Amino acid sequence: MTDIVLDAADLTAAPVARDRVLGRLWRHRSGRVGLVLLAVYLIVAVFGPLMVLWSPSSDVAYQNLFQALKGPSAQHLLGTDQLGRDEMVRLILGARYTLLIGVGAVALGLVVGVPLGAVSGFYRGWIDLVVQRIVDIVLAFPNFLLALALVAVLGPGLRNVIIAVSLASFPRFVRLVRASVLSVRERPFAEAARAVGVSRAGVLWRYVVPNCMAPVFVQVPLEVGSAILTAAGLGFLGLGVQQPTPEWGAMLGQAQNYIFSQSYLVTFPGLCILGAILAFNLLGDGLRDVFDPRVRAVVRRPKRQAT
Amino acid sequence: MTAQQDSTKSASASRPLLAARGLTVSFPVKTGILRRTVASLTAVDGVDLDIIEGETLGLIGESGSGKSTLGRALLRLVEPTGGQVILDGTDVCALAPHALKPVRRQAQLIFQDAAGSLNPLMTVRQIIGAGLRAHGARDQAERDARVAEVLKAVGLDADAGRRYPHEFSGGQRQRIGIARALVLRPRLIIADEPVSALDVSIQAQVLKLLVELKQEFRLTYLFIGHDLAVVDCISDRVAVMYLGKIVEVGSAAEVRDRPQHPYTRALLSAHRPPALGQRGQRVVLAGEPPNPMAPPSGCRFRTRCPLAQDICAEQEPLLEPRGTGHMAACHFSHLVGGPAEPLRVSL
Amino acid sequence: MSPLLEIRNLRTYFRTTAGVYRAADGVDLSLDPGRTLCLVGESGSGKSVTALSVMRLVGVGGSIEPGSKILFGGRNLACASEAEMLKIRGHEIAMIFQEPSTSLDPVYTVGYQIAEAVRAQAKPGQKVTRKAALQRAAELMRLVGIAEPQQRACDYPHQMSGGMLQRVMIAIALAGNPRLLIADEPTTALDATIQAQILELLKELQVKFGMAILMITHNFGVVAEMADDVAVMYAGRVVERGSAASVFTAPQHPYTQALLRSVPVLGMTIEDLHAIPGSVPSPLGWPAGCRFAPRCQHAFERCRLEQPPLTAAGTQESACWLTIRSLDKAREVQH
Repeated sequence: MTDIVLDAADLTAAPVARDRVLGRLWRHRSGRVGLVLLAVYLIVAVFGPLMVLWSPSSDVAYQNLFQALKGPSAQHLLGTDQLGRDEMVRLILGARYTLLIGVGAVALGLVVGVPLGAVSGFYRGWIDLVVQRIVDIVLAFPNFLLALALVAVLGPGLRNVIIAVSLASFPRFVRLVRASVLSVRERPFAEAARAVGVSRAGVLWRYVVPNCMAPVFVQVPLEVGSAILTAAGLGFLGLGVQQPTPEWGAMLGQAQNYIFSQSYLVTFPGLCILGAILAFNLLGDGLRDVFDPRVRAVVRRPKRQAT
Repeated sequence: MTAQQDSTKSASASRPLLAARGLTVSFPVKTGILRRTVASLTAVDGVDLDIIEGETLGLIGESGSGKSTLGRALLRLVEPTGGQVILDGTDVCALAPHALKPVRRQAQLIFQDAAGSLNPLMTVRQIIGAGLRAHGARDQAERDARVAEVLKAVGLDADAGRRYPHEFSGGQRQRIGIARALVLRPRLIIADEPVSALDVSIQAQVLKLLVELKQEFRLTYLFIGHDLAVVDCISDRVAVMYLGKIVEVGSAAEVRDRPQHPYTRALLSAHRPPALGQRGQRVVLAGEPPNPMAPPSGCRFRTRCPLAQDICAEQEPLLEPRGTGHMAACHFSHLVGGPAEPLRVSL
Repeated sequence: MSPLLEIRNLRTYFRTTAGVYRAADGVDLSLDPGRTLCLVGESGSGKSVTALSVMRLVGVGGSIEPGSKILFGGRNLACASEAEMLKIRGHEIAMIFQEPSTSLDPVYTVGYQIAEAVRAQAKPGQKVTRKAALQRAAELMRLVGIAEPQQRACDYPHQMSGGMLQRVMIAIALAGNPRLLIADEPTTALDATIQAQILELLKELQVKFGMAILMITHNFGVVAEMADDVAVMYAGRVVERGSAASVFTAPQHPYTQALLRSVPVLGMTIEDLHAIPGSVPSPLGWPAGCRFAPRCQHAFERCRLEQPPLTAAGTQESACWLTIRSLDKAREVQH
């Protein structure tokens, strides 16, 4: 019923201009929390290492066994690990790796997945068949196992972790973009572009794909969250970024032995990972509501009905 | 009325700008995992049509008649499965896909869904300029100047170029669509139900605009519609389409005053002017339009026709002359009578 | 004869993040039993909202403002409780919509859906068996002109054409033997030849069932075909109302006049068409004074300041300062 009635030009689904996205996100409850949290993580990742230069622990090679396994104190706010390094400093240093892997993996997934999905959905035919079967195969493997297998083959290290994790996200983007393209290519403006003489390729990349990106934008933060989780898992198993480089997953892995004795070594890295994933998930929730045209005509229920 | 008559006289003397011969558009219906073709839907079935330079040819039909498909097939936006479309001497259907670009300059399309036909992520300037870009106008300033020119011609101010489609009303969006069609200076514009989705008070504005532009830019129109009153008032000649075939074609006045096909008669009856208290003179067609995938044998209209006889099922009537420039496909044209006369059914 | 339905000062507002959307802003209507009133207007006029308000089916966020009166059968529907409305909907007032294909549930057969309406309309205490309901459904289908009703009852909506589906909708509406049928642009989505069939059907059924019809349309052909009375709406209000004959032959309000001149009619040429300049204002911000003034060629000072009330002018009523001014002058002359 609402659709019939609220059918004026002002309330029809208007595309969200870039400058308004941020504003709407801010007003959205979870979106705001997600934005703030993400901002905190970014600041820590970028500026953090500069702010802790004073501490000897900022040097990855540093060790001080006399200070090992000391609980949180005035000197070491979050305690020290088994090699005497300041836990907080290491966590701060580790932020960049986590974010780098998450964002890098998803960026790679986008770069590969979006064009594949676009071409697959637009040209159909044998390209579509081949790409879809590849995607089916990749999706048949459990995420984590696939990443594991890849790292086992390629060897550990930051670059290989990014590649391995991106493998899990690109099929989702292919599917998402393909579905959007299949419907957007039927819209009159795509036909209109052809009518004025734009080439088929031009119609695909300049007209259809940009109009398919909204669901992709919503999916990106959710994928980053997922990527972070996978990366942490790999790090936990020692297959990620190698020691002594601080990476939260790896730190978690090393702290296994101290779960009961120095539990803070497990809690704090865990909380950091949790916080990062939460930030991206909330951001994703917010973006989804921002891009949904129906939710935009949000209506405040009047306090009382007509008497 | 006089202006229309004049243009019809001079129009029939000129050669056709666009001529379709035996134009057919069929869509295969596929099912199953192996996507086997089980049937085909022939939306346009062997249509012959001439569009004379300088005229407005109205194409009227209801849903399922194939009129929109015909319009698009003439521009090869939908691939014809048979026949020829000769635009100014060249067979458009025989051209290789990459050679179609010059054709696009000559013939343009105006869409029914104005809002849907404008890319929501582009500014009006970009939308209208896209055609210019595609045909090699590299200089941004020159494109902008041309865009400003057509925007003015359709009654929008040049400032509109900076804005996005959703900032405009329905009528304004259709003007933008018209501007886009105009910018390439085509000779022929195919208007696919350009006013059907607009409010009544805006329809008149857009119709008058189309007529003005036709004079100013010396255009030829194919005006596709389902509202006979609208098509009649803007067209010099009218063609009536039913289930993929043209059943009648002639000057607007002829078709209106001396219809030669029972379907045309029924349409006229359904669109008669709102005059109160005249119930009972109406020709109400029995039954539903037949399934386009399995059209009736012989004359397609026979299942709903008050004049149908055995011959109608056996022999498909062809378009035959019924007056000057007036053709109809019916075995019983002489029984159809004028719109005000009751339909004679005796035989 | 007292009117079956009387609407006085109906205001239905929608509160959105963009502002207050005054869809219906002071609507006055009256419909006698057994007659057909056509509510004419363009998009943004508030005609659909008015119909939905009568049925209290206005969507989320819309509310009927206090002071609105929808008088039907001695009750004010604007303040009736939901329980009371449940008894009225379908049974005393039925509604059919523009798009029959989306108004029917695609996963049930049409026979089942009509039978469901029959069962829903049964008097409390009276139990209608499934078999009896299906029988009645087939009867109703025959009544609305569907051939071979027993077979068609087993069809699903997607197997039927637009015209057939609209007949099914009418059958559902008739299941409760309503006194008032509200039809919201029932033929707009249909071809002209099918439209003719449906309108004929509605006229027959009106005589047979003795119901009043409130038909919403923007098509004057439909009005000519169906209407006993006409109400023309613009920008949320009724600007002219009266019998169809008088409004058509002697329209009083400039909007009605301009509208009639801008609609193409068979036999007109393009020169005969007179377009109305400008466009409909947005319901988010109606202009002060008469809402048609910005587009009216007769507008004068008072038009821009105050909204004119509906005043009797000849055999109809018109909301226009011009009419009031000439009536005043006539009265002066008499003295």
